[in-house]
Order: sequence, then C-alpha cells, then structure tokens
Amino acid sequence: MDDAHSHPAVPSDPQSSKEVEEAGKDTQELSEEIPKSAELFATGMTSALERDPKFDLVSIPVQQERPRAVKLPLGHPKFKTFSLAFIPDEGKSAPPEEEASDEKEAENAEVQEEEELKEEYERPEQYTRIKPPQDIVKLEDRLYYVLQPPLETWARDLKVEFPFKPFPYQFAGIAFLYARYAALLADEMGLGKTMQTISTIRLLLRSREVRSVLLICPKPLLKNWEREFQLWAPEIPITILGGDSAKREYQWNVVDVPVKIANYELIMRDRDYVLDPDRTFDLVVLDEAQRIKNTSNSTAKVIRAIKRKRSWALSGTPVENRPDDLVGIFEYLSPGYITPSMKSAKLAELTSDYVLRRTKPEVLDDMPPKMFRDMEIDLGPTQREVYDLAEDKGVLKLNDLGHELTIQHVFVLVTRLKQICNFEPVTKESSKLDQLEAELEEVAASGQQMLVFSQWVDSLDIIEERLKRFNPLPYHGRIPHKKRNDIIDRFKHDKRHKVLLMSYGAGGVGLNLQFATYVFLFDRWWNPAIEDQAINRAHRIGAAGPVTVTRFISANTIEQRIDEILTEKREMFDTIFSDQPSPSSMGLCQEELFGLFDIRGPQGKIDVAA
Amino acid sequence: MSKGKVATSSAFGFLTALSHPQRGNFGGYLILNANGRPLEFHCTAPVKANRAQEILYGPTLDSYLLGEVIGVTLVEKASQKPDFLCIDHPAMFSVRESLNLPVLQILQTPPSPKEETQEFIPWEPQSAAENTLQFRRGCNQIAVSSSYPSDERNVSDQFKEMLESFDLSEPFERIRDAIQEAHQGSRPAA
Repeated sequence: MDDAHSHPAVPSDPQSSKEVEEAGKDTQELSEEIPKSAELFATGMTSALERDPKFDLVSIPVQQERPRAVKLPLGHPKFKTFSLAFIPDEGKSAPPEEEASDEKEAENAEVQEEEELKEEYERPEQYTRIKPPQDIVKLEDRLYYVLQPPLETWARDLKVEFPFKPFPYQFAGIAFLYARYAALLADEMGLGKTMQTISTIRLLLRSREVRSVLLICPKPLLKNWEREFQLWAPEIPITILGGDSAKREYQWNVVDVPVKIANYELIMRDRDYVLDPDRTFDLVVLDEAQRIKNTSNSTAKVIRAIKRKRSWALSGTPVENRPDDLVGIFEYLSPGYITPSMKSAKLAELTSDYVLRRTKPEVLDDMPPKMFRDMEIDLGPTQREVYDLAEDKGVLKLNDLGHELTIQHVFVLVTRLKQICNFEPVTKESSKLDQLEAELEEVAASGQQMLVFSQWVDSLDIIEERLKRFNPLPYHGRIPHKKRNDIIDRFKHDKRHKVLLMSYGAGGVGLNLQFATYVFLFDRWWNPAIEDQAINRAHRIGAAGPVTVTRFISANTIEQRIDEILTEKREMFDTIFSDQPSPSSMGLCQEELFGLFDIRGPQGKIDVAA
Repeated sequence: MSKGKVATSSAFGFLTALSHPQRGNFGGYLILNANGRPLEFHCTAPVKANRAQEILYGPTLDSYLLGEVIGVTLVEKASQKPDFLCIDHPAMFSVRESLNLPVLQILQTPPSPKEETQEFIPWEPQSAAENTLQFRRGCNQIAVSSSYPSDERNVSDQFKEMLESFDLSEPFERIRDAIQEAHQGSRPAA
C-alpha cells in the first residue's frame, strides 16, 4: 500500500506538466485521508484476522488529450509545360522518282537486300547532330534544329546515298552549314569543302528548306563543280550558266533547275538578270570567296547586291594578307557585323560561330607529326662581303629609279640576294651547303632518306656535285618528264640514293614521297603555301613516321626579313582562326616587298610582277 | 521507317527526364514520325517533391514523380497518341498504369556528361528493374514491365521492323539537349 502511495501515476504524456502536477496532488490528498486512529488497534495475529478488511479507492486519470493532426498535402505538384508542334513533313523528304527498269531493279535487288540487312543491325559509330547557330534566338527555332535526327540516320531515311562514306569531320561540316544563314567554310585545301557544300545543298533541297541555289566560282572550277555534283548529288538538276545572251537569259529564268552555277565574270556580265528585283535566291554560295575581300571591287558590290536568304562563303585562305580580308567576306555574309578597325582577337571572338576551319592534322588521325626546325646560318666571310655590297648597291639603284621603280625591280634585287645567300657566285662558298652535308651524314647513317628543295636548278646542280657520295638524284624542271617516274622509282626502292634534289616547281604537287622522313628547304619560297605543298610530299597519309622539316635561313639577310614577315602573317592567321596552323597562300604583297629595303613604292598603279 | 515499309502518318513517343540538384526534375516528351523526324515536343518546368512526399512515397518516389506526375502529364498534353512509348528509366513504367499503350524501356549506356551541361544529370540507373522482361531487337536492348508482358507484341506491325532497325536510344539524347536548351534562359539568378 505504501508502495502504491509512494509512486504517483505517471502521465502518459511526460510533456504535459499540468497532468504531472495533478497526479502529485491526488497522491497527497490520498495520504491525508488515511485515519491516524489505525495506530490504536490491538496488535496480534487473531485480532488482525477478526478485523474487517478496509479498502481505499484511488482514482488515477489515464485519459489523454487528443493528439493534434497535421495534414500533409500529397496531391500532384503543379508545374508548367512547354509544347512545340512541328509542321508535318509527310512527302517532304521523298526523293525524286527515278525511272528504273525492271531488269536493273532485279539486278540490284539482291545486293540491296544484303546491304539493308546489314544496315539494320548496325548502329552508326557516331552521330552528328545539327546545333543551332548562336544568332538564332527564338526558342522554337533553336529546338527545331536540336530535335532533328542525326545526319547519319537522317540521310539514310531521306534515301540520300553517298558514293563514299563521308568522314566524321565532313558530317560535322554539313551540320554546320545546314543550320546557318551566314557561314564561312574555311577548311584547309583538300578536306572536301566542295563535297560538304554539295551534300548540304542536297539535304536542304530534299527537305525543301531551299528551292533555288546560285553557286558562283572561278571559271576554271566550273567543270569541277559539275563533276562533283554528278558524283555527290546525281539526282539534283544543275545548270552551268554560259553561252550567248539569249541562252543565258533562258537559263536565268528556268525554274525547274534548282542549282545554277556561274563564274564571277559572268555574274558581272549578267548583273541585270541576277539583280532583277523579282529574283531572290534561297542560297548563294561563293567558292574562293577571297575574290570579294576587296569591298570596293565591282564584282564584290554586285554579289553583295544579290537578293538572297542564305549566304555561304568557301575559302581555304579567308585571310591572305590582313584581317581586313575577313571583313570583306563578312560584308557579303553579314554586312556591318565586323569592321576593319577591330583587333584580331575581337574578330576571332565575333566570327567564331560563323567560321568553320579544320586542318589535315586536326581531322586526319593517321597523319604523322610534322616537326619544324628553323636553322639560322651565318654567311661565310666571302658570302657576307659580296652580299653586303650587292644589297647596298641594289638599294641605291632602286632609289635612283624614282617614279620608274616597279615591283619587278625589287624582285630582281631580292632574287639576286637570295642566290648569294645560297652560294657566293664566284667561289661557290656556301654555309648552307656545309650544314646540309653535315646533316646528310647523320641522316644517311641512320638509314633514312631526305628531300632537299631549292628555288633554283643551278643551286641544285651545285648541291648534287658536292653530295655525290650520297648518290643524289635530281628532280627538277630540266629533267624530261619521261625520266621523272624512273627517278622517283629509284629513290623509293634503292636505298643507296640518300637524297632527292627537287625544285619547288617540279616537286610541288602530285608526288607521294611519304617514305622520306627528312625535308630540307635549302632556300625559302615566297609563299608558305608552296612550301607546304613541297613538305606535304613527304608528310602524307601513310607516312612511316614523323617528318622533320628543316628550314635554312641566312642570318641578317633578306631571307630573315622575309621569314619575319611570313611568320607575322602566320601568327595573325592563328589568332583569328584559333590555333589553326596553316595560313595557306600568304605571300608577300607589294608593300611588304618594298618594305624589305625600307623604300616606298611610287604613287599610283604599280606593275605587278608575274 | 526506312525502306518505305511503314506509313509516315504513325508516330511513336520517347519520354525521359533530367535531374537538377537544386531545381528538381525536368521531363521531356518527343513524338517522332516513322522517319524519325520530330512531330511534337513537350517539356516540363522543374518538378520537385516536397518533404512529405519524399518521406511518404519513400522508395516509390521516383516512380511517382517520373511516371505518374511528369510522364502522364506530358503524354496527355500531346495531341497525338503514339503507337508505343519508349522510356529510359524503369521508374517511368508507372506511366503504364494510366495509359493504354505499350511501354518499352530502352536499355542503354548512360550518356557521358557533357562539360557545358554538367548541372543537368541524366537519371541513374538506366538498367532494367527486377520485375521486367528483357529481350533484344536489332541493336536495341528492350525491357517491358512483367505486369504487361504483351506490350512488345502489341507494338503495331508497322513499327515491328523499327524495333530492329532504328536506334531507339538516340532520340533520348535529342530530348536531353532540348530540355537543356529550353531551360538555359530560365535559370534562377545566382
């Protein structure tokens, strides 16, 4: 009992202090009710048994307060949605009906079936998606491009077949052009600007994005474009504009031929047709677009006036001399977007979304590395003496010419000085040849072969004489054509011939010499593009290993000054086209040639050297 | 689709979602024609579960959010009913309870996160759930819910070939890019 009294009822909710207090109060009251007289009862077992048991009733509250309920909302969260519906393109992408004979169909059926089966189970190695250009700001327009299928599957579904499977970078080029209303495709020569352009035009025509295309190119390239269209888009009708006035008028007005191809001169001749206010082209493409870099040029003015929706420019050399060249092309692409006063870095930033430029090393994985070594060589004592005398006298002579001075006079002096840098005219002293001989010793000892390029056959003759023990083979303009193949064959298969002596002209194009791993430029050509062609004889797809290119430069001479100008141009090009290594045809302009001798050209028109 | 063996008037759908650590889930739904060209695209503003939903739905939260909330909303929003619906996450199978159309999960390798879009995260994992039936069609590894084992058979004949010849994982990439494109301009101020 005492125990029961000493332990008050514990409220179920210890948080409720009120209940605790009340429970304590009840216990106290209970103790007070027990009569004190109980202590007066007789003691003993019998007496205790005789007494009636006495019970005390204790009430302990157990009822608790009702818990508070918290309502948790579990309904669907509300959110906004964005919707975009596309215009159905049913029938839009259907290829033109081709009339195929039953026999032809039967002939191809088996092969096609085989190809289709194979195609069904192959997932493309990679997908090329069209990305919206930055100048498209409307979300619906951007999503239009984002949601299109990859080019690889899209072309398949449009039944667009390619004669050769395009490289991934070529698909990327097509995706770049497809979405752009203003674009400059500036890939290095040989990467397929023509193919990418034709394939994009084909896709645009097939998806009815464009219906009329005008392609303008230099006259010698007309046939090439025609040939390439037949190869890459055989179902697309094209017209090469030409012939007499009546014929051209008809050609301009014919509507069922979606692609018209014209040369620059014809555009000038037919400016009235092409600038007809009722004529608008969905797309105008300029090949070799550097032709319009001079904004004041009349051809450029006419071309800029052509009414069009899309403007594309193609050029492997969009910047030949100065950043302004790019401004000229952009006056056609997007007038006023960039200005001549802009710095190269700013130009690069502004134009990056409009320009696509790739180089061979960048996109062709199997190209070996190419290492450049510029070797400054001091002239021999006699060479230096003769050189200084020739330069001093030459400059005096140029200054004396006054207004009769032409660019040819400068060329003559430069040529003379460069020849002295190669050999002293009388003694044939040559620091370069001494160095070359030492280098060849090492190359030959390692079992390798080298190519040596010079601008002059006379220089090659002297080199050949000195290097006889290495069995040199000459390959230049004085070697009859019928003997040239034999020379290449001997160099390729007979490893005793350690060196091939080539002139830039004869060895510049069309030769595959990828087994030679060393290239020496004994003297420098005016234009890096020509040098690049020469170097690329050895540095080609399939080359056995890295190619080392050594460029000889005579210190403190005209060669060094020319090299500085060309290097500066390369750097300018690299700045604009973000680390692109090839400046292509960046030769010396008239001003720069005069500048070599710190003389100014006469006012007015200057005759340009051939 | 290719080879002209199916009519171009039919459509099929793709449903996916991207997760954003702060903003929630972004749903995207793309309807393609038989040539793989887009017909309709719908996407949601970010959807986030509240704390109570997180606790009470527990492990079924993804299924609730991605399927019942986002999936059903988007599919019902579209004007066209697709022949079948492709999903890339098993949690979206719950959409099947509300929609009378075959639902196929396309099993695929999770796309590698792109540098410029790291704030959006594709849902993981993209493997099949336990209660699914898996099979292969052409280049596609497909799963259907074991509650609806005939879903693959219910794909209409005209699309049967597509299951073999069309890379059904590719359109999800388009939706993910489109979601990011759509929400690039609507980010809250930092």
